[in-house]
Amino acid sequence: MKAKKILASVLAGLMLLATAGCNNNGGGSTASGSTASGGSSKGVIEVSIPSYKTGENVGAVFFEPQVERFNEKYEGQYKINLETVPQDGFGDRLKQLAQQNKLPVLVQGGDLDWILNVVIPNGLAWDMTDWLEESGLLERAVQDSVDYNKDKGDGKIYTIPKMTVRPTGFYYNTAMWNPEEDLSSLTMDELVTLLGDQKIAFSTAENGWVSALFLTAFIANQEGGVELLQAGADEKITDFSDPIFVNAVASLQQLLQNNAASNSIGAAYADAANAFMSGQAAVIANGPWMSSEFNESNSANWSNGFDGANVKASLFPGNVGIENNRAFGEWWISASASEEEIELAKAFLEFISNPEELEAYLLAEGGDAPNIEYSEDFKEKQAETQVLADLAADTTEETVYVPCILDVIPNSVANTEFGKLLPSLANGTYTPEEFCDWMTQKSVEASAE
Amino acid sequence: MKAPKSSPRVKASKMERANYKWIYLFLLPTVLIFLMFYFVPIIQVFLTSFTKWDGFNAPEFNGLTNYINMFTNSGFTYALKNLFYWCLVGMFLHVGFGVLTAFVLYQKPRGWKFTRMVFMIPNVISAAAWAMIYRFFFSDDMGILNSFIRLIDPNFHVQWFYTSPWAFWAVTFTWLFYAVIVTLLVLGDLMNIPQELNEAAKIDGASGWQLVRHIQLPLCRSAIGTSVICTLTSRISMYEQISLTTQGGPGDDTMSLSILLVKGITDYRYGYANAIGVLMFVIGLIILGIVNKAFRMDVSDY
Repeated sequence: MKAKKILASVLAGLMLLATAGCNNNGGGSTASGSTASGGSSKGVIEVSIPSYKTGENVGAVFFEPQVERFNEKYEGQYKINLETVPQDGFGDRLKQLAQQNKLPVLVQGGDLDWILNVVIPNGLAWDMTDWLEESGLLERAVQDSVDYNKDKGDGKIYTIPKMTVRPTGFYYNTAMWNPEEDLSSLTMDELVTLLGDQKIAFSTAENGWVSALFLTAFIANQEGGVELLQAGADEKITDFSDPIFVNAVASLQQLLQNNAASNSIGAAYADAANAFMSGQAAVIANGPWMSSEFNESNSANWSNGFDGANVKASLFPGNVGIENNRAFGEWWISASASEEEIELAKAFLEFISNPEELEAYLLAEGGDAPNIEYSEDFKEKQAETQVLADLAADTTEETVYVPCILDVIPNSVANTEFGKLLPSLANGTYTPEEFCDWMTQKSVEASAE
Repeated sequence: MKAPKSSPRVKASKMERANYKWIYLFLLPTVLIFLMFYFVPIIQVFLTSFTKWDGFNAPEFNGLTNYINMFTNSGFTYALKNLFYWCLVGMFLHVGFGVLTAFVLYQKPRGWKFTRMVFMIPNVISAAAWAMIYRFFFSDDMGILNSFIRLIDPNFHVQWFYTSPWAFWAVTFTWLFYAVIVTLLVLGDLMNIPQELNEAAKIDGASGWQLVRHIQLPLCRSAIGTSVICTLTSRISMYEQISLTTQGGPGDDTMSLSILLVKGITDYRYGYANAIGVLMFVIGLIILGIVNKAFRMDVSDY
C-alpha cells in the first residue's frame, strides 16, 4: 500500500514537473538574448543569428559563404553561427524574440510597420549614427536610404542604410522575341505595341508579384505617377480613385487579356517563372536576383528548348527601375547587445559593406552600388553575365526609381486583396474603375483605427 | 410539497473520500494546462478585443470600435453567409456521407476493413496539402477535371477557383468527402449496439430499412451529434483550404471569419482580429449548445 502511494506521488509529481517544464525557457540565455547565444570562450566572441538566407533559400547561395568568409577573416576573434528560419515565418520569429526580449545581436530585416511602430519607438535597435559617420560607411550608402533612416528615426540611424540598388525590370527570351529598340527608352504604349501577341508570364495568385510590377510600370509612366508612388513610401496609399491608377489598371487589364501566358490565371510566382523558362512566355518581370536562374548551372529548371543564354534584360520604359530607395537597410543591431557583441556586429556590417564584398554581392544577385568605384575585375565579370550587363547598362543617372505598388499599400491589401481580384480583372468581371474602388475600400478598411 | 429528487446524492464511502486527494492531484496538471494555455488566452482575447493593439505596444481601450469595424467590413457579411452555407453543407452532405459510409461498412461487405483503411488515408494528409492538390485538380490549364471535360467539349474553360459561383464549391470540395472521423465515430457506436436489439427487432418483423431507421440510427444519435459538432466547429476555424486556394476571392465570394482575422493580424490590428476571434468563439458556443440540445447529447441510451 505504501509503495503504491509513493508510486502515485512520484507519478503526480512528474506530471506537474512536466507541466512546469512546458513553461521553462531553459534559462541559459544571455542578455542579448535568444537564439542569439552571445558569449565568449578563449577570447572568441561567438553569436548565433537567425536568418532565412540559409539552406535551400535562394539568398543562401551568396550569404552563407559570406558569413564563412567573415568567420575566416576574424578567426580567433569573432564567430557567427547561422540559425535557419524559414523565410515565410521569419518576420513572426523576430517579433516573438522581441516580445521575449531575446532579439539576436544582429537582426536581419523585419517588416516596415514593425520597425516603424515597434522597434524604433521601443528602443529595440542600437543607435548607429555616430559609428556610421566615424567609420565612413555613409559615403558608400544610398543617400535616399540614409535620409529615410533619419526621417523615421528622428535624426538618428537605426538600420545600416542600403549600399546597393537593385532596380527591377523585365527579362525577355530573344529566341521568341528579339526587338532591336532600346526598350527602357520607349513608352509603355510603345512597348505593348512592340510586344504584339507575345506572351508574358504573369502571376496572379499569392500577391500577384509579376502583375504588380507591370502595374507599377504603367503608373510610373504617367505624368505624376512617379511622385504618387514615391509619396506612398512615406504614407501608404489608400485612395485609388486617381485617374493615374484607373488608367494603369486599364492597361494592365489589356495586357492580362491579350498577352498573358496560358497558365497566368491562378499562377503563383513559381508558375510564372516556369512558364518563362519553358518557352510558354517571352517576357517575365522580376528583380536582378533572377539572373542566376539563367546560368547554365540551373539548366535543370529549363524545358522546351529554353536556353538561359538567350535571355536579355531591360528596365521598364521611361527608364523606370522598380526599387524603393527610401527604405531601411537589411541589418540592424539589437540595443540589448553587450559591448563586445556590438563590436562583433559592427565588424560584420563593415565587412559586408566593403567594396569587395559589395562587388561579390552584385555579381551574385545583380544591382548597382552607386557610391563605390568598381574594380576592372568586377566590370569584366559583370559583362560575362548578359542580363546583369543589360541591367547595368540601363542603370544610369537618368534612371527613375519608384517603389513597387505592393510596398506602398496596406499589408493585407498587398498580400491578398490585390492578387485576389486579378483573375476577375483579367476575365472582365471587374472594370478598372471597379477594381480601383475595391482597392480603395479594402485599403480604407485595413487602415481603420 | 417539495418534489422528490430524481437522483439522491449518495454519500461517498471512506475509501472513496481517501482517494479524493489523488484524484485532485492527478487532475491538477490538466487544470493547470487548461488555465495556462486555454483560459488565460481566451480572457486575453476577449479583453483586448476592446482595445487598439498592435500586438507589441500596450493596448489602448477603444470601446466597441473593433466590433463596429468588424460588422461594417465589406467582407463580413460574405464571411457569415459562407459560414452558414458551409455549415449546412457540412451538416447534411459531409456528415451524411460519413454516416452513410459507416452504415455500409457496418454491413461488413467483402473488403470492408480494406475500404475503412483506404478511407482513412486522406485524413493523414494535411488540409494545406489537400488545398494544393485541389489547386492542380481544378486548374484550367492542366487540371484533371478540365482536361477530362475538354475530351467532350474542347473549348471548355472554367477557372473553378477564380470564378463566381464556382469558387465556393471548389473550396467546398477540398473537405467535403473527407469524412472518416464521422465514419469512425458512427461505426464505433454501431458496433456497440447489443445484438439482442437487432435480433429482437428482426423477430418482430422489422425490415432492413426499419432496423436502420428505428434502431440503429437513434442509437448512433450521440456519435452523429459529436460529428456535427466537429464538422461545424471545423467550418468556423477553416483557414488553410481557403487561404491556399482563393484567399477569400474572387471578390469576397469565399471569405471567412478566419481569413478576416488573419488579415487583421497582417495589418497589426490585433484588437480587431481578437474581436473576430471572440465572435468565432461565441458562434462556436452557440452551435455547441444547439447541437447538444437537438441531439440530446446529455441523455444516455443504455
